[in-house]
Amino acid sequence: MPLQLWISVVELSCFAGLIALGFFLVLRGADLFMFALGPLAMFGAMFGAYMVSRNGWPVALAVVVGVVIASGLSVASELLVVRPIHRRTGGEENPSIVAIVAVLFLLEQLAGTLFGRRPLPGSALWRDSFTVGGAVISGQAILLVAVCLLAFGGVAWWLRGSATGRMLRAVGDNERAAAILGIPVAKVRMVAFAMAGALAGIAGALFATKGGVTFTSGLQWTLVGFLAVIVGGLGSVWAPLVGAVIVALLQTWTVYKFGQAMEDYVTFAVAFLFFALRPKGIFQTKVRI
Amino acid sequence: MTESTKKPPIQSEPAVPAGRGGPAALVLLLRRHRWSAEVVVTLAAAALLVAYGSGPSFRQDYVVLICTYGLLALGMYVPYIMSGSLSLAYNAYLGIGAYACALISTKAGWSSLWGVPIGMVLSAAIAVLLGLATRKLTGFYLAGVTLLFGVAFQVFLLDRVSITGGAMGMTVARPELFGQSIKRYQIMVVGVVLVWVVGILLARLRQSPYGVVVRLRKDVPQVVEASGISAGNTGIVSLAIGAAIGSLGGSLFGMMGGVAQPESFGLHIIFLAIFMPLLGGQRSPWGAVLGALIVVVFTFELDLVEDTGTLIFAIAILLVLRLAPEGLLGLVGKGWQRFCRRLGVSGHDDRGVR
Amino acid sequence: MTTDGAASGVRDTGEVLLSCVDVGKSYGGVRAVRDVSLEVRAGEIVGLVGPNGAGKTTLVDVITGQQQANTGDIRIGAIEMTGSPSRRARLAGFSRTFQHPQLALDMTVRENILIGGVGERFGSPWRIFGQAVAGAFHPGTKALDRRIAELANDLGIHGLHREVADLTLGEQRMVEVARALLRRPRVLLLDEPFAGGDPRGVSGMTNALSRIVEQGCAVLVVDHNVDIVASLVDRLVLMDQGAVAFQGTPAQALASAQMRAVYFGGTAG
Repeated sequence: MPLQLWISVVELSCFAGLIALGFFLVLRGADLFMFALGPLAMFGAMFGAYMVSRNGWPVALAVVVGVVIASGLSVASELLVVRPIHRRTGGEENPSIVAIVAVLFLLEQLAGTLFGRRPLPGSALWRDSFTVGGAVISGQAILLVAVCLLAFGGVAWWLRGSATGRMLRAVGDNERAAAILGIPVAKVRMVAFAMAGALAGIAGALFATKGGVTFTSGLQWTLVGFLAVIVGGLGSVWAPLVGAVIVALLQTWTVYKFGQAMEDYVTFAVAFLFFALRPKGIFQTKVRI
Repeated sequence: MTESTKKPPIQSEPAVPAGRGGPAALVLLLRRHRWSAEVVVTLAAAALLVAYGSGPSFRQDYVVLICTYGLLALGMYVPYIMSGSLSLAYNAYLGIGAYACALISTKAGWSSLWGVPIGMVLSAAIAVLLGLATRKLTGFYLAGVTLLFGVAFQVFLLDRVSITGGAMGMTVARPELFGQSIKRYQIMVVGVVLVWVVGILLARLRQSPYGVVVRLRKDVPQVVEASGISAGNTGIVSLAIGAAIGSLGGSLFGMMGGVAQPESFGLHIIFLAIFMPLLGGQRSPWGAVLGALIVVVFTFELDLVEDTGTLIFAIAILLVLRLAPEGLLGLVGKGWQRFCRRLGVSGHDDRGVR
Repeated sequence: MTTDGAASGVRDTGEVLLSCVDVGKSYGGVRAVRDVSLEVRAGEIVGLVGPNGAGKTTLVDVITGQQQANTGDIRIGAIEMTGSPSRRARLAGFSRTFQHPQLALDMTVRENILIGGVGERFGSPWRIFGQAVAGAFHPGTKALDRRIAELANDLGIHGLHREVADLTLGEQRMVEVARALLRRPRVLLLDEPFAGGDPRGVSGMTNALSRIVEQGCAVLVVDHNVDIVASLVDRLVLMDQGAVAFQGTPAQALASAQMRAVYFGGTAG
């Protein structure tokens, strides 16, 4: 594979890793697969792109507001939809999935209506690019890698070092038991959703420069992150990143070798194989996910 | 509800309360013949749909779309509403139904009707495989892997031009029966009848031992196991049935349009499929059909208003999930119970479906 | 009535329908069940009592196949059950109720009972599929419905078409009993049938049990409430710290030093 593609792998890894880290947080804290994270990333990115291209906002402002919006929408969906339905059904799984899918669908349609149904180009925060050994590295890519590593490191530190972080896992494992122990379940879940939303927003804003963003991008992004979690597992904070690297490598390599369409077949095949053979990913956790 | 604390013994039919003839007697009559009433009402609705479709040609397409979505929603009903397995590969099942008809007619030169059973069996087989891979896992993972399959299927349709005709799709020959080609109007009538028959059969299925087992599987799988039944296998069978019904809808759609195209089987189908049964009401398969009707009206009538129909639909879904989880038929049912209570009779049917 | 049965002492005429021999189960280093042996004969009601943490629930899980025993041998009738999944136990003639009633609240009493009688029809995936196809055309529950009506009558369950959500806890337990009895089991296990303390439930359950044993069923009642259980069983098995501390008639058991030691914490004497 040419060097340029390796850089793509790194970018895609970091992007998928950030989304997967969001999934990881919500899975740990609420035992839910927050499928709406991809659309949240899309929403933040589209908002930013729209504001920059239509209203002439400075890129940095658009990105920051976009991230805040993604985080806020994530919290809103937890407070207004997911949590009430979760409570009403006594924690049954299917209603929660449907609630999350409904949020996903609404975000897509809302973005389509507000920002238009045509692809918008993402605006780079850092426009410079560097040529190393014949390959072009954009400043945006460097930013993405830095943010990704920072986010993973930060979350790892937060999970270990802060009170809320330590409570996160207790809530996700057994919400009722956690409530009995006096853990503020609602707050912990909310923090998980807020952080996941923010991570998605950052990922979307930084990655949108790669190929633009449309209102339907969200679902694809969700699936990339989902796959990273499936491959990596939930055994450690870094597991989603390892999963993301593997997925990114595999996808880029298949596209390089066999063409665009192969990507989706391989994606599905990898998921299918992991489900059938190693359902808890590479880094398994002892606790039920 | 004072009814439930002091209930008359099981089989006895409570008499009409003294001094309340008319409506109360009617309620009792309806209750006793609930099953017949269901048949009559749904047949009447089917007849209305056919009558509507007898107008201009575009209405026939419209009715067939309702029927296609109706079958899609009915396909979701058994695995998802009854059995609690959320499979999201329904765009693929629908597509398989349509493309099976297309391939069998253009490549093999057979009547495209042969595509119907082939599509159903193929879809069911895929559903079983996907189910087997995720059977030990929980709902999110089945949802995820089936979604990935749906995406891969869509790409397959676009990419394998030699098999599927790519973005242009491929033609589905007008179906022939005994050498006679079937007219569009006839296809529409067949579609309505299909929805009605499948609906009736599922309504009966729901009450049958299989229906009871599958519904119990959703809430108390350990009871299913303790009763000597494999909860996993029961769920997989329900996935297969649902996929086959979805494929039937796809075949209908393909034969009516005369073409099978990738864009008809995109991921939007998946969203519609999940939401339709919830919108209409989970207590009866007719809720799924009603949901399909609403969806078609929403997305096509309201899209005329600056393409916000789908957005309104998305908002409506969230509102229904949050405020009226029993769906539209559920609300009607509640009203009916209240009405019955006011008359002093229980609105519950006291006997099983015969 | 069963109190007569208790007074007449241990019946040992019936065939042994449930037997556990030296059953042991440990988690890591903790031995939750240690070499428990017990048997229940046809027409006999045996009470398994013991304080919380005595290992009753683990033993129940092992018997029903929810967990695998590390050692020992469990048989239903002559059929070796050790290590088989719970659904095989049912097909061997074993029925159970659950400590927390396992009922679909939005389904009717009839439907919740019905499943107890259809296990044989759902043996393989193909037969399940056959049931689905057949069910769409013909419910085929006439005989079952008659039996359900009979059972409901016997057990004092009214309103078969009510939703289970409308029932009291005591009524829900009776629905579970009806479900367990629908297929005329050879062995019936009642898991904490008196938890939740509804006195009406106790008398209903007592009547139901006496009818069941008349038909030659072997019944194992697991409960921590010694007083209630002692009044309706033929024999009591007392568990403590994972092992059987005493076996005998209720009168013997209540008078035993072990019972006093376990329940009142006092020393024997």
